[in-house]
Amino acid sequence: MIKIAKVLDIKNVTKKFGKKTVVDNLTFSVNEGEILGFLGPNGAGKTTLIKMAMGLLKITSGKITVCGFDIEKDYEEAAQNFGGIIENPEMYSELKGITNIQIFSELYNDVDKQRIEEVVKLVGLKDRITDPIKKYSLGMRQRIGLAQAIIHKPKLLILDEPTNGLDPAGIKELRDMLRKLANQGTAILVSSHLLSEMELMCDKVCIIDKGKMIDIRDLKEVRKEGKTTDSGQTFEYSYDTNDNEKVFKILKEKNKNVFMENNEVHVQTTKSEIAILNRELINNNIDIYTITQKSKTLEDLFMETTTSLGKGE
Amino acid sequence: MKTLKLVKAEFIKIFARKSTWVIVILAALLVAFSFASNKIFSSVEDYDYYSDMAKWEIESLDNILSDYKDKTDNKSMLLVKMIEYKKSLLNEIKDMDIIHNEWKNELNSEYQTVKSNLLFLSLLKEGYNLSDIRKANELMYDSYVIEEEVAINYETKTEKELETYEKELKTKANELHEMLIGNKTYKDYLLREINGHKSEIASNSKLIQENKQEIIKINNKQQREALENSNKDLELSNERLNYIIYWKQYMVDKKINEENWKHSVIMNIIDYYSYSFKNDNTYTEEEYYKSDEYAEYRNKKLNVDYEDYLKIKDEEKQKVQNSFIKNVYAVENNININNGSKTILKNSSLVYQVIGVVSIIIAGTIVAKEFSTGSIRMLLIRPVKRWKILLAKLITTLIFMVILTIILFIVSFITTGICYGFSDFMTNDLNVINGKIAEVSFFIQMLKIYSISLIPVLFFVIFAFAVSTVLRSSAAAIALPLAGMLGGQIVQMLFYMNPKVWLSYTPIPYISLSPLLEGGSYADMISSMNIMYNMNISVLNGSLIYVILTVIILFITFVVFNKIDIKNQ
Repeated sequence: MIKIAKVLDIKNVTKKFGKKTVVDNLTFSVNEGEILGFLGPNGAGKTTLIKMAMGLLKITSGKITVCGFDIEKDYEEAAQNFGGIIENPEMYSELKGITNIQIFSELYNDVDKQRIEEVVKLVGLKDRITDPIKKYSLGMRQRIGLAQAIIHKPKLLILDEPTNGLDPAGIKELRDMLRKLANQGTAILVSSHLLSEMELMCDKVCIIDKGKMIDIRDLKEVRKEGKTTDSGQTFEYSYDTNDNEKVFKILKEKNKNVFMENNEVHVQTTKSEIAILNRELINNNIDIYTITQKSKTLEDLFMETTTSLGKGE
Repeated sequence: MKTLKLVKAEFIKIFARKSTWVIVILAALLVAFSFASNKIFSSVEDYDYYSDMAKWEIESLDNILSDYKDKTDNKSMLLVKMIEYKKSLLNEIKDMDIIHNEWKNELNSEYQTVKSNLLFLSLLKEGYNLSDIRKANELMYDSYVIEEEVAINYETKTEKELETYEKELKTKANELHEMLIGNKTYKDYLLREINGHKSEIASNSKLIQENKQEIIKINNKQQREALENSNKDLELSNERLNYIIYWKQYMVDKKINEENWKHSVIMNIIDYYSYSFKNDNTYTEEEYYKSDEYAEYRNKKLNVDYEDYLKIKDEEKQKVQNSFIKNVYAVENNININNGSKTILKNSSLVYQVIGVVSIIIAGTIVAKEFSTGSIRMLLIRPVKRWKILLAKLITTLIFMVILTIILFIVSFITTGICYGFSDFMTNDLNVINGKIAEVSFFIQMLKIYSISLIPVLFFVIFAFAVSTVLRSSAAAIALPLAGMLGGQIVQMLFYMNPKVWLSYTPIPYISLSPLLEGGSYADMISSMNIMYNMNISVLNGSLIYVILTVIILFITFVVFNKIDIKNQ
């Protein structure tokens, strides 16, 4: 077994603003070469945690380390090892893109001119880098934000809503770039509200709500679910047939969990059960055009976990 | 190392903003304009005040005249006569060139008095009585100043004596008229003055001789002492007159006219010299406790005993003495201390305020703007400790202030030089230390004046920086220090009008330090005020208060910035 190093390690971290607890005893870590998606509804405490991890907010209790350096005690060493974007990448809009990058890069050890050129090329801003930032579009601002985040080759990259303002092609580029960085060993923490994007981008997701950890899951497993033989789990299937009314009736008689939607019959049942139902429908002279098993998306997972918690209260 | 890089970055940010350039250029223009304005506006001022006044008075007299012209009673005829005479006098003024000529103005009022006296004398001779003349004068809105002397002379003198008196007046009037309308110069005026002083000296000497002879004859001790005292006064007066003659003769010899700066300096010398004589009436202890001065102190609930009183007197004398020495030295060594380019540059406090306002704007935005745009987040995630980032911003603000000061000094220097001449800058400046003159290079003197005057300004700039950091609001960070710096000067003025001891431990007496420096508006009152109120106001103490406050404010600022949570804006 290869020992996977924890680049970002968050242990029992709590943040209170006055009496209000915004982050409540969170513990998780991001490993080398891993892309972790950080999910949660608005106000869940995502940005608060990210800000603590980058030293912008003081930690009420608990401990955060980056490459083993305590974020509060050894801030300079820790900061040398991370880069990122928090909320919108607000830079100095009167200054040229290149000047912004230079100002920040001077504060790190070992960033030379060549590296700056390389990064500018990497984020695709080579032609516009001498324009002042105020002339940039939102997408270009995201790109220059990314450039300042990776200029010093950090071991940990923290991105807050990085897809904001990017066009579909830009999003794809970003996804490829992050994958490449991860393959080189960078640990990446991404927060976003675009669940479909996260699904494509991340290896793991961590879902929080009201400051509390709800679920942490390997996405490969989520994707796999439902593709194996019957595990006794319930899925949703939809039928498109020549006589949907009749299908509904038959299934209703069987006392199944059935409903009509978009002129299609939906039923919730297990895998082995659906095979039996299919046979029965064919025996009833019904022509089945399609049967679709709805695969579980990240959105389902997200809704499931956050709403069930809501009901519990 | 990183702090230096941050300072460089801060300068790039400040000068990337167009607003910075605009306010610096505006500040330079304002300063240049303030120095040039006297020159620009003085050439426009050519308003003949005296002839306008005369015209206006003639008009109002004509109004009165129209009411009484046709009446034949005695009183009306007297009034008409007086008005006609006044009108002829006023018409004369219109033709005299007495604008901007102080000496001519002085002679003119003397001329008017003599001419009025002549009129009264002739009216009395014609048989009008004094009360009628007074009533007529009231109807003329008191155009004449009636001197009792004329009436007394008329009643007491014999006819022959009166004739000589009238002749004397006429000669004097003619002589004054000659001085006024002829092409006489200031030099002629001075010579006339000198002659006057000389005849006063002669009559004083005569009196002294007479007194001396009298003293020998008198046996009464008290009477003798009174005469001896009067002789002493007369001798002092002669000494003073001789001194005045010396300087007036000096002006004649060196061809110094009214426009020359030396003229007003010499006038000051004469004033200081006279003052030192007038001021020799220090009370004895017994006199002091009965005096109005002491009563006034008691009224204000001040405990000023005789010892304090002597100290105050001494301080005052010392000050006059110092100014006297300085003025004499200036005239003799040809160093313009009155209205040369140097003095104009030294006495302008506007420059400090402009430096203050611009630096406060920079200090008030340098931290707060990062918060309002959100760029603070990008800055604080770098591997640099927070206090270093704040220190870099503070250093940047201070360097900016120094650069601004240099720019504005150069602007003032050049503008003043162009308007009033550069040559004056080459002469040294004068300091009086322990009654002795010390010459100081002008630029070293300016450096000293600027450094002291900018101490409070520096404090308000740091205050702006602190508010900018702690409250994270540019508006508050600019408004509060500006109110303190500019509005505080009014509070400072109120303090010097009505001092309170406990306020002397606050910055209030020191809001602006330039009036406390030599020649400033509060400088002369400080030492006696300190004795009266038992305070200890000095530039040094003021600076100390600012140093302590600055240390406290900066400590709080750095602690807060180090602990602050960078939340959403």
